[in-house]
Amino acid sequence: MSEGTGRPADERGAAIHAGLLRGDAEASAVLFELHYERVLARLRARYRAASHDLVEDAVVQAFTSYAMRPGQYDPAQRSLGGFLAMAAERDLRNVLAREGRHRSVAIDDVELRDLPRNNEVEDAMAAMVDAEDAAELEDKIVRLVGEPAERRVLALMRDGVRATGPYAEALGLAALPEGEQRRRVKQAKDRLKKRLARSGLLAGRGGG
Amino acid sequence: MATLAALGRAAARASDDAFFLGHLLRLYREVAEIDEDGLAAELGCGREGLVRLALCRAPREGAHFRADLARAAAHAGADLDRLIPVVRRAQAAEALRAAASAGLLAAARDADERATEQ
Repeated sequence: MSEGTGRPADERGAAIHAGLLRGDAEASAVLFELHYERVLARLRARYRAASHDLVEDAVVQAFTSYAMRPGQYDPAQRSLGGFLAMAAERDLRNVLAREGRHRSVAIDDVELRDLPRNNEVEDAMAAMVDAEDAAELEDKIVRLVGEPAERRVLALMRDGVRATGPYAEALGLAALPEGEQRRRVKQAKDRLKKRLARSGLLAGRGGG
Repeated sequence: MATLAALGRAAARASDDAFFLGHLLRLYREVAEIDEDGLAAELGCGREGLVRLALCRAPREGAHFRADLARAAAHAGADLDRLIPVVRRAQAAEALRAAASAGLLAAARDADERATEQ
């Protein structure tokens, strides 16, 4: 573990970072070889409705930006892989926001049944995040979901949390038996989804 | 190590940027009218080596030039003595293109000014 941060030391990331700062010619190649495919896979999984071209562009853009200006990364703050994933996601969201700021996605159009996800509520949230500028979506959700516990549930869904525990805690159900927690959490997610659909946030569902 | 296909696509995108050696390698392929396999053979490194080479940083000028290319060649398993003239020829081609482009712009500007005066 690295001292002070409580997370494992990222020795390979530190070596790449030092190489880029020195101007080592091969450091950018090592960066791509070690991190590119993992970051790409992560973004593709999170943004299934986005075109592969856009996702690849965003990842290459983030890697290039870092390789050219390595000073933007602070190894004390996070791992290099985490930083690159965050930077690539930010770039992708910017591109998606520019391409379709006011669009929403028809849930049926993205073949959710084929996706290996926990449930369709999370799929719906993922599709929404794919389609909308994150800040804009956040504003809509805040207006629509006033209850703090439910907002926490939405945030967990958006972040792709799978386990029942965090949802049960957010809803104050942690003391209930496990089976009952699962049932009540699912109910809460379904209720939220219906509300979002009725609001028109999920095109193709509800809306009236 | 990422798969060659994924890295190859990344290298092709990165080659749009002059920061990467791939930018010069692509320019050289255009000038020499050879494909990737031809260039890989010329550099003695194979397709995987060529992708690795393309993702390296373009050499800095002056004292760093040879050392930068030596590091890139070592990383990619390429022949440094063959890489240096390839990079030099690509740089010359790029300079010529820039000069030609500047000349065209100047000519267009002159024509525009003449048309305005008439």
